[in-house]
Amino acid sequence: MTTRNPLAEAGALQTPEPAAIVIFGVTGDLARRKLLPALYRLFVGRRLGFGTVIVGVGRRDWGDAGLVKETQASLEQSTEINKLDPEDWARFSGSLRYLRGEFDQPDTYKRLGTLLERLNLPSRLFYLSTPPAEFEEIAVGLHSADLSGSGARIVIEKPFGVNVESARQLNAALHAAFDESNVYRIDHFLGKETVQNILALRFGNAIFEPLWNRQFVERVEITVAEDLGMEGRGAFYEEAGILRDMIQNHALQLLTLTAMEPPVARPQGGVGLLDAGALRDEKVKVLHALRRLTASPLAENVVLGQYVAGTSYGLPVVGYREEDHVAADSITPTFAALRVFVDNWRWSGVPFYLRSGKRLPRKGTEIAIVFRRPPQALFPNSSEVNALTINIQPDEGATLRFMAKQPGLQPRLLPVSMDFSYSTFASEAPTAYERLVLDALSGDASLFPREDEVEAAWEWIEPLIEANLTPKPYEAGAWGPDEADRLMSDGQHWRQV
Amino acid sequence: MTTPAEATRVVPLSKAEAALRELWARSGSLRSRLSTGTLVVVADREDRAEVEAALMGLHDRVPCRSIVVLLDKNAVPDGQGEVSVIHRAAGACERVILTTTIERAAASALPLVLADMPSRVWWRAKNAAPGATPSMQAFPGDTIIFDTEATGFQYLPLPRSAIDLNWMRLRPWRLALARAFEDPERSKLLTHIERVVLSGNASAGIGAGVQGWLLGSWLAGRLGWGEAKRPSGRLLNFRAPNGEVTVSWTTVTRPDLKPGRLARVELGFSGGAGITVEAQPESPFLVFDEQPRGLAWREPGVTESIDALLGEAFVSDPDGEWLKVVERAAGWNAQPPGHGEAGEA
Repeated sequence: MTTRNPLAEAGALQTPEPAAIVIFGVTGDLARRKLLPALYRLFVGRRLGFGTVIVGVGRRDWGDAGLVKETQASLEQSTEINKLDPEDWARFSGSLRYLRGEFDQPDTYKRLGTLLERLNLPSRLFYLSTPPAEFEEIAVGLHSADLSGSGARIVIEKPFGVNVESARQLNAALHAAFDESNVYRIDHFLGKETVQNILALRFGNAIFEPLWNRQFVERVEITVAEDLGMEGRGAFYEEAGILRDMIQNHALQLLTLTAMEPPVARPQGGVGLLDAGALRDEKVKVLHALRRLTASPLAENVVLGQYVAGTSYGLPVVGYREEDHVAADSITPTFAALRVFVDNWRWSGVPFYLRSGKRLPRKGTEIAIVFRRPPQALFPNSSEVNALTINIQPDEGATLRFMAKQPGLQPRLLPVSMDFSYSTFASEAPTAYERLVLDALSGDASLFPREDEVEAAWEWIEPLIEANLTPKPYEAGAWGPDEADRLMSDGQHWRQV
Repeated sequence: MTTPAEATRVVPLSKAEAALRELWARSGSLRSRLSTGTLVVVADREDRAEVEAALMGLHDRVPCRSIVVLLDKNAVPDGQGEVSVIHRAAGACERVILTTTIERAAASALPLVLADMPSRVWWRAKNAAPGATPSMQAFPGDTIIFDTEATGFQYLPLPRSAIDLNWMRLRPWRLALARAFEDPERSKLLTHIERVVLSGNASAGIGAGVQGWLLGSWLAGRLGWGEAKRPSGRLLNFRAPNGEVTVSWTTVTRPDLKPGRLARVELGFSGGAGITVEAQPESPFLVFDEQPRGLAWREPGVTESIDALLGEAFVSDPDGEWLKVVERAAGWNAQPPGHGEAGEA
């Protein structure tokens, strides 16, 4: 719900209602690195409702002054803030409040209720920037103190459970306090401009969609590659592994956005508008259409890997098992390559190749739609294929590869590519958190996974996680184990990202 | 961020496309030859340097082609133009500059416009009106960009959809006023406005007072004030749902502002309360002040630079509301007595 203001700019983004934004775990790394900078950017851009107050809840003995001091330090260190304007900062810091409390103590919520009552703002957003183990406790606390009603919204960070059962348990706990329509699950990946551009490219153009099916597409390759190792996150990674950390969420999000049917538009003033419910319906349908991994022996469609010592950009790096807080005999996969089929009318028989890994040669996320070859070879070297690549990061944009005649008397072809790069536009894109927090404040759930979407993703991946396959070793700095190529059909290879 | 432009080449206009292609190839640029459209600039020859400086704002924001048509009534058209590829932060942009007479201007520019892409005309010529000659009707561009600060209301009605740079300059004022009433409690005050005082920097130019009339017209339209009466050249009386509203225009001396620019907006409510938004001296900020509570803060304010405005105008949609606003304001401005008085110092 937004403010009705007759002077508000027509056609511009509406400012959300003034809100009390309550951040549980405000003293944590995520809040300081991402959330507070995003809120400050929204504030400076006049995107927060007038009179919005940010209430940090944490266990440390900070007080209002402490929160202000820590926030200032965070913003000054943030690469997302160019410069702290003294007047903007003075006003922003004036909106910060701190409440010290344990998340398992009813008194914390009672005092929070008193504070919120005193603030008397029309909207409430509870942001759980805490370890997942505390989600349920906080939701119960809010509910017990009667703070979860009246349209209050709750935002939680991924992971949304570690398997189907825990995801269902978490959803049940959240629903005991909040209606699903007020639950916002943040996967920051969906806040990226280029991920949203997948929808723009597919449904804002008429030229791609007729080709976007089994008749013209040979395969789809989705790569989420990271060049880094553990960077101190070994303990977390031992529990998560690549399947929980990347495949269950990021890779499947990209797959669903690529494979989904056009969502039904909600007409408004003669113009159709993307509807959050319809969009999420279509994504869930794709997850339901994914062929079960157990439909055939796992080894036919899955290759897991774990990096051993190698090089990264020419420098020697240790293997996964030598990383801090990693077991010497760990079988946690750091790489996964999967061949996946979407068993519906549009995609029947078209393989979707998903690949993600740590310590790969370079960082890069892309979706490549590889088209079929022409039915007849009229030219001697027409074996190359057309491909449309959507580059998610780091060089956001799109590339279309096609064949053109090589100049000369010979009827030879050569592949050429047309590039579109977002960097040709100088305007600054909002950060993922900026976009998602604003959407949550405005009640737009389009970019937040819904409960059934999360559960369907877990249902699909869980048999693979439970299979505990032994990962194949690959050298740090390589594109995963050699076996990954085996998933491809004859004559095909993974694209170089 | 700017890298040096490729050397400019003077070529026959019929060879301009080939010359641009060659410049691209020679530059060895890894950037895409990506373009979002064409901007045709129609300007007086003596203003060339200002136009070129302003175009940098556009080229900083979006990759595009600009065609600068410099008008000179004494020009002997030679069918030649200067072509260059300019490397900017937003990618490489293409530019063609030619000098000609107004009669030949449209026909000269037309073949250079990027095929099948949006095109806009920035009308900056002081000595010729858009639509002044039949050839102008053929000028390429769905939308005309112009500046009522420079032209006043004299070019109305316009031959096509328009973007007014002066209306864009007022956007921070409009946003600041909207912001002031974002609080649902305070927005109730909008129905109790009794007086509006618009203060502008003194000017004797043709665009003097235009900003004030535009903002007053916008307020009247948004708040549903009807039946304007004009007791004097600087005063308008409206019938509002809760009574009469007086809108007046005054001049102040603000050396830090350009002549004619809006300096202060005061809204007075029944009961004596008031809200003031004022341009901050020598700073692109507006200061917001509420009386009697004394609530005050800053809002990002007026960007003076024409290059930034032009960059914004090129990617903006024409503002449908502006046309109604400007027609209403022009109507008041044209009413006797005191034609022109509103804008005079």
